[in-house]
Amino acid sequence: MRPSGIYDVNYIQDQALVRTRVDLFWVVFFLVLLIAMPLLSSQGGLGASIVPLRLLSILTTGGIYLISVTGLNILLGYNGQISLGQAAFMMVGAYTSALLVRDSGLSIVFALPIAAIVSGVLGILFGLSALRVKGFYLAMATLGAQFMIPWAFTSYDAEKISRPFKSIGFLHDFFRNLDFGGSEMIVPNARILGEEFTTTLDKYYIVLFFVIFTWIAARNLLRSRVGRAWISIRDNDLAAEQLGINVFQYKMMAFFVCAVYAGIAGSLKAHIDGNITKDAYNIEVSIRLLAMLVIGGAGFALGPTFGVGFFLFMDRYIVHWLRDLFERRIVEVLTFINPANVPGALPPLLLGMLLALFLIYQPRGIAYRWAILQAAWRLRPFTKV
Amino acid sequence: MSDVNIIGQSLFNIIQFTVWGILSGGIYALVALGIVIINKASGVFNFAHGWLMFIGGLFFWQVFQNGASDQVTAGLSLATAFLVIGGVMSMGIGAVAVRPETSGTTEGWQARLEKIGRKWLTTLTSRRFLIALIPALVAAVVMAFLLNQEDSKILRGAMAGIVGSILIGMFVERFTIRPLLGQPLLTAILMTLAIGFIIQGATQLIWGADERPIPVFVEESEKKPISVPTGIDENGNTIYTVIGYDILPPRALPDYQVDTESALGESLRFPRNLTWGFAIAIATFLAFVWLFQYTSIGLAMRATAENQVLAESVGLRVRLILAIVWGTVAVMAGIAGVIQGTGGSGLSALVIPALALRVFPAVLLGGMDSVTGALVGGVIIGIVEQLSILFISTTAAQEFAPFIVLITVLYFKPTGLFGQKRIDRV
Repeated sequence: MRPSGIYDVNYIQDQALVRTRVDLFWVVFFLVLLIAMPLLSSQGGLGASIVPLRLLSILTTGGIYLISVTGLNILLGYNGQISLGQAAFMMVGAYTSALLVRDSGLSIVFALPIAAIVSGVLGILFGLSALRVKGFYLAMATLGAQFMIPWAFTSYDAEKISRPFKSIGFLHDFFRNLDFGGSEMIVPNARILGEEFTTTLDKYYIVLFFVIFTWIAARNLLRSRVGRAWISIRDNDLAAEQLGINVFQYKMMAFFVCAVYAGIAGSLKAHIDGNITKDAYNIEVSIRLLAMLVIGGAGFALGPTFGVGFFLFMDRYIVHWLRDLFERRIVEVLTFINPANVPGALPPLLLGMLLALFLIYQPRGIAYRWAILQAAWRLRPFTKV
Repeated sequence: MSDVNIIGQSLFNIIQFTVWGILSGGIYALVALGIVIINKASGVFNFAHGWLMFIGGLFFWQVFQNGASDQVTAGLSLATAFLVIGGVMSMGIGAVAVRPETSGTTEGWQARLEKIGRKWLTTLTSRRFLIALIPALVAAVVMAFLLNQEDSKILRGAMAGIVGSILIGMFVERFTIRPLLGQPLLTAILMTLAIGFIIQGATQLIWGADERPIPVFVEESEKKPISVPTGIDENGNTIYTVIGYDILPPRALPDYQVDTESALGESLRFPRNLTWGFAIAIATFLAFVWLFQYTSIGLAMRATAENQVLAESVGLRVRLILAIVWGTVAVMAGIAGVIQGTGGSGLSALVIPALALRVFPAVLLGGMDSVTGALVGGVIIGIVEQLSILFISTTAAQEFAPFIVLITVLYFKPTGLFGQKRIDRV
């Protein structure tokens, strides 16, 4: 809802990223805040250590998830498809980028885009199978991807795979020399022009850059012809088809973009974590990413941000607070609960409860509530338009 | 014959693993049937099915392993009575149809209370209820007698599993699926994922994260006396006194064997848990198919599955039917969970839910809405899995082979072998 007295008189205004001066203020405010804040930390070089490094590393992790969830938002929120394999595609990006940096010594400037494209192409291979038919078959295909991709990486056997290619020299050598490190792969730090990214601050800035980049890319995609086609398919695919939109092609495109975003996020995650394990990219992570999107608000520009923010808050505070509550009070009342089980059991229980409650009572997520709040604020003292 | 080799494996091995595949495929078929029925009735891909299996198995385990207190026995007998009454009352289509005298809205809480009271009074004084009371009481007494026997561990566990599963199934339907009636499919899928997380958290909170074997197919644990020398008798021999018993871990009963030495060189082995599991799974499968195809409540279920709005407009109580469907499916899931728990890996939160996800390829292969397809798909996936254990590796069988089948099915025949082709109308 537009503030009073502001009207769009042409199409460019209607589609502008920053519509009003207030918007501009907030954009600049947050940009400056995010860029300047780390300078006040102990690694910032200004001699001040007001901002704890812990906060920066939390924000870094959050940023990685934000990129991935933004991809999911394009797929689920704007195109109505569901993917249960986002973490697997992150894993593809992670391994590709890690291999390129480790074995070829490539800078992340080249490794990350290649990782993103590889992830996207692999996504298309899986998506092709499901998107031909209507209905929620993509959930199935991506479920397959979620199991097959981590399996393929972690149980890769160079000896076995390269044997059939003996006659083709370069392929044989290629497969022979691939090393995914088995159950855990150690990943070198990211590099640009020979400079290694080692400190928390470096990692924060590189993630921040990609968060801003992918955010703008997503916004631009969604206000273009492609984005409008996606939205029309989400709202009614039969009607969209009647309008001359190639439903299959656009669905594929949405899935490709989603996988590319996953690839970018995975590549960053690999270099920032310093290792790749199966557990960091399993199906629970995929479902968590979906839950972040749904709780944040699918189909809203701010949805992923709210979702990731909410989950960071939940993991940091609510879980600990509930754990205290359980271990101090509830265990005394419900004697069948073993206090030793509480730490392991609470996160899935809380996640499931929250997701269920949101789906029943607030299916459009926090972002929708936020939009209502904004409208109410603008309309005050009136309650209706 | 015995020296035939196919891709480095002997013929015997291939036959042996195929047989195991068929046996475990029977269990997959039971799981697949549950997923198919939920998909038909509620229109949801139930991603929480594995967790329903797990929690049903845990109810069984709890009573099986720890025994039942008097209260639990009494409760289970009472539950038997309720089940019998429920069974008798739901015979005939009238049970799930809206009764004319109870339809319509009533104003005011006194009037509403009076109406509810009258409804219960008519039910409780109906001839059918009074007739149902007799077998119910008999069943309760017989059950109480049986449950008090020393060696009725399995029966006790089974009753607990059935009752617990029904309650969980209906609970899930009432509080998570019903509020979403009429919402987009996507929401429902996410909701089943949420249910999975809730059951995961709740079971871990109560039972912990350890895996729990269900020792049904094992020998009685051997007691080995621990003795210490305590003195010397008049002949100079040491006297040993038993101070306690060392209970050895139970050993699995030997596999059944079929003599095929002459033909294959070795005897085919049938592990007990798989054989019995197959038999029970197929029996449950057939029992449900009978319920679904040949009883009037099954007819109501099929009508609901076909078209909910139409079923409502001819006077079927769709919500009651859905609750019954979820209860039944949860029982089937629980049975499958128990069968799986008797195997080597036991009841494990890591194994069983992953197993249910592996059944999705079977469901898709058979067709999302086909009961026959569930059976065929389940057996095929079972065979594929066992053969890939033989030819590739165990992790490949669990994380690769079923899903390559899934992707292949999606590429070439997305409706599955027996599925109906859907036609979209504007």
